[in-house]
Amino acid sequence: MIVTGKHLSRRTLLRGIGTAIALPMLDCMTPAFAAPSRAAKSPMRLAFAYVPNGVMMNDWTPALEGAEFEFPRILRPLEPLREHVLVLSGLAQHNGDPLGDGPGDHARAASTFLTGSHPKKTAGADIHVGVSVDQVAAQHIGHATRFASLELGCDDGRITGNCDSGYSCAYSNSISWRTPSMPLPPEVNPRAVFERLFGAEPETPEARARRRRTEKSILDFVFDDASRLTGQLGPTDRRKMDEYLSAVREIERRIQMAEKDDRQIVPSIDKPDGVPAAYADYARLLFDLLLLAFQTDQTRIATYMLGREGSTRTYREIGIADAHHPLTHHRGNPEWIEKITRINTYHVEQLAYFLGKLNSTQDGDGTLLDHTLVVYGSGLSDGNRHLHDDLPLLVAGGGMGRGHIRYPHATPMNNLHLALLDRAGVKVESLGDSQSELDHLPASS
Amino acid sequence: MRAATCFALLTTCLLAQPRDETPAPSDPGRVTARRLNRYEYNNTIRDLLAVDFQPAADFPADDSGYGFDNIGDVLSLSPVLMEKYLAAAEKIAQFAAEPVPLPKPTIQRHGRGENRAAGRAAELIVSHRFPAEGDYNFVINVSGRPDPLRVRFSIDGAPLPIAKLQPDVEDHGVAEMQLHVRSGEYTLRAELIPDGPPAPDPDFEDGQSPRPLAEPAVAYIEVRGPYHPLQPSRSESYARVFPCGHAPGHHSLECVRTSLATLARRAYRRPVTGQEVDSLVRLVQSARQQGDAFDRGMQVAITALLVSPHFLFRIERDPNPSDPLATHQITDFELATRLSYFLWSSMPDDELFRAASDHSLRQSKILRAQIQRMLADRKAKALVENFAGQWLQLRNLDTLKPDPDRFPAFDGRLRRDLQRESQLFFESILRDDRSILEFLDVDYTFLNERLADFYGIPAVRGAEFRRVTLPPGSHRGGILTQAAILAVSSYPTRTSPVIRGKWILENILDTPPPPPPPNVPNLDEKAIGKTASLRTQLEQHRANPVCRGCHARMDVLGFGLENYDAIGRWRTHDGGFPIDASGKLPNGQSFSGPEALKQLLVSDKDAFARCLTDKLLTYALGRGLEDYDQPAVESIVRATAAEGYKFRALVEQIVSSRPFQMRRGEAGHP
Repeated sequence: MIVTGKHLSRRTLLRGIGTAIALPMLDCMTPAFAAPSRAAKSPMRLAFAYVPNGVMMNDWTPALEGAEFEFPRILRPLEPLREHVLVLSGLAQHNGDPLGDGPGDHARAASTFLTGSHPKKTAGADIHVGVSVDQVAAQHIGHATRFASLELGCDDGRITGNCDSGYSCAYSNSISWRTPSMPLPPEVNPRAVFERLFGAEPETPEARARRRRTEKSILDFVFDDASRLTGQLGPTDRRKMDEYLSAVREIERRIQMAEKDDRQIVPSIDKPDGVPAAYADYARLLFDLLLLAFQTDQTRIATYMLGREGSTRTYREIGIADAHHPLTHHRGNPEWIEKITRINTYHVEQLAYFLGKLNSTQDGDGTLLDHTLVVYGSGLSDGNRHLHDDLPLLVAGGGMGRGHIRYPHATPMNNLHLALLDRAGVKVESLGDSQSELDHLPASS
Repeated sequence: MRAATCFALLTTCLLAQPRDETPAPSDPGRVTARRLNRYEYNNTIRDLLAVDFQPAADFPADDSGYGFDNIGDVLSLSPVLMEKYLAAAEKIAQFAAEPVPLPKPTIQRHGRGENRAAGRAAELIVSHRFPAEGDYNFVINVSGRPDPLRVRFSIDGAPLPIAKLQPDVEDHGVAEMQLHVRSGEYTLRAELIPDGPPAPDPDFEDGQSPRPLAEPAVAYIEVRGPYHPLQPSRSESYARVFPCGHAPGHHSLECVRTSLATLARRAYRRPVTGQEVDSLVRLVQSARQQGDAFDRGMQVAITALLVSPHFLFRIERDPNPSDPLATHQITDFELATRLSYFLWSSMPDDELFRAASDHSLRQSKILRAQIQRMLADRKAKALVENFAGQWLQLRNLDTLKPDPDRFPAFDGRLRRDLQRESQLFFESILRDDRSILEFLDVDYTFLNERLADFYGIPAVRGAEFRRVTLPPGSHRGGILTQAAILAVSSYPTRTSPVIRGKWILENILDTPPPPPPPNVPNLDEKAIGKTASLRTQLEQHRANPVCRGCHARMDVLGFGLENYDAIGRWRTHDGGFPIDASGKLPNGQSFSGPEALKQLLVSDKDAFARCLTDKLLTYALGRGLEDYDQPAVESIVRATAAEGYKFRALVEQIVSSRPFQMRRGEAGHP
């Protein structure tokens, strides 16, 4: 039995010792340590949602530019939210092209999407791409919240064998890269996400304080251990220890954050049992949890893979028994194209669900959708021909308004990333193959 | 990555890989510090602390490289995972170091599904963990024809008096006995001994019953207890945490020190320094100073052990870490650790630790004896689940979704049966030390009634798997004809000779083809089986010169298996079209049907041996193979061939090989 939390309350309950008090949203949203004043502006959140295997572009790209475009078939589920949907055409991840590396476009599609860097072709040793835009944001503004970032994904269970033509599976499984060599695998189990956000079991404040104290002494212990060890290792092993130490530091930071922000949040949905069987339930449950994480300000940055790149999921609930990836190599077959289009539309329906909920959730002086920039798209446009230009992309919410903008062919998608970082208050000179901040976007409010 | 070289029969369609200047032939390579993957973590925790609740179930999936998920370079450690390590360690420590209440008597039934005596109905061998020392009752239940029988029952080889079988309800026979047992895990064995001529079967002889009653079989062993437990509050985990054996609540600092020294040595899989033990003891002391009990202090220290890099990573030290020319033998403890994670996906046991600390492990006689012992141990199941599960892609069965409209026969039970068949098959080659060539072609497999019906093989009755000699014309034998493999290499809606061909190239011949070029003309999916056979369609597709290079090889191999449908059933027609399972390989060799294809593959013994060596060595080392590993691979293949391609010989050769026994430093910036 999965309870998907159909009735998301806008209230967040704060629980003290055995008592529960309802507080207005504002108090939750602006924890004492982060807020110079109660009237502080709501922070801007960033969410990047990824769909695998490209999109049928004919039914994605609006015919007209500007605000008055007609919603093509795949985007039609978003029509009720048209005031918040900005479709961007013409952007490219040029580093997804082979550039001499031969096949492996799926691995390159996912790994370039947020990095704009060309992944090193390797099945294992020395994986390397670039830091992803979400992690750049996490490094700059992630310290304000308990979790610097959240990585979610709907797993389609691809486990064994090589993922894509000599590329490590890490490239297809993650869009989020903390360092050029460290992918952040998405959390695929809704229950585990819930437990991370809200704790596995309720604890008394005393027990919590004691646990944190212990955890700090344990982390001190292992930090010393690993630091001593690092000096005695070769370069590659040292890199592993650096990863370890950096993870330990992040946990220490979380513990410190938690000490300052001692709210025990009682979420408005029940703890999920596991992974729902139906895809829509699964995708929406993770969207629900993401919304809760934003709403309770436990993180402001998230990535969400609605499927791993190269996903072979079948979508029986909409009558498609074929695996997604083989279908996308349709080579012009109209029946297959129809099926892919239905899958594409189905994914957008899940996005519409999320945007709708964001839009009906009060946040500071507006809605959560006003304060969340949601990027949705794929690292492939034509999944049949494995193209990495004219990518299917849209930005919703965050005050971007509505419209359809067509950019000159092969404009780097990373220009968009720079612009988004700017809006989230992160100033960086460049990222991956960016040239400059993407222009023609509505002025930020 | 070196160029694939495996398949001498076929010219490879890969472009030649550019080779760097050839390194010294004696380069043993180096393995990056390996983080425990989820399977290894669960197993190690089980063996370290007797905690069996699969704490890694919630960890993020491990990435794989080179086809396996135990590759050091690929196993990264994200903050999320670190957070989970910490939470799991707290839970494990609490569970292990907390005195458990008096165990209540329980009834546990071990059925034929757990049987380790493959094939014999008259015998049931299972293992049972006794939570405490005390009195236990054993009930042996026998199904089938009501012959007069007696039961020989033994615990870890120690026999109990032979008991006569008593009739029970529903025509079952039953024997009951009682014994005082110490806590721990033991092997229980029940065997039926005839006590007179077989019973007649009146229904069958009257022609009323369609088939004779089944042979008597031990249906299950039931363990009831403990009654009058002796050491009520010391769980096995607790005993491992406090090896000095005092009663709970009576700790001393001296004992804490001994306990932590022992635990740390096992957790770090090497001798520990006094300093390391001191810092652990300090954790206990500081907890004590803050008013916590000893048990609680121990929990803190155990948690720290379990998140230490020395536990989470298998770290091998180099005397000269930055010198790529400084090759050296790994230490005996590192060797014991490589060996145990290779064969058990877990930490070394006490015997391996002993062989490492008295430096006997490298004596070839002792090393061979250890390998033999380890392969016979039930923990070697890890090699089936993790190595075979990934090499043969059996793990992918879990998520396979054949179209239920086309394949209603494929349900959850059949899915498990298919997996079980291939696992048992691999296990039998491993345990019985058979030739690895049997993977390709052999006249037996493992079936239960359901799977035998699915295959159309008669006279296999009952839910339990047993070894079955395949009748002539069964069209089965060897992995290529097992439904598990045929199903994981198919689309949800139909077979794919391309995928199957690719599967063979990747997993049998180790010559993976590159993916297709973009925008090639497609198959007319609707026409398959209606206006044209799949084969005709693919042949048209192959007429395109861009595609021909690789498809000439892939498709032909796949066509050889077209007599098996997308869930592995035998068929002679695809829709309205008769199956043509003949083919001609680019080198001119031709075959007709799956049997002939198998003969072709098995005829080049060394080709397959080299491929399996590549896979197994990759898995054993936890790194991709390089050009400089080639001499080692060749010598493993040669030596394995000299011993009749026996599986154990292959394992022994891998363990004795230079890359497994040695390592070197690494150039790079400090």
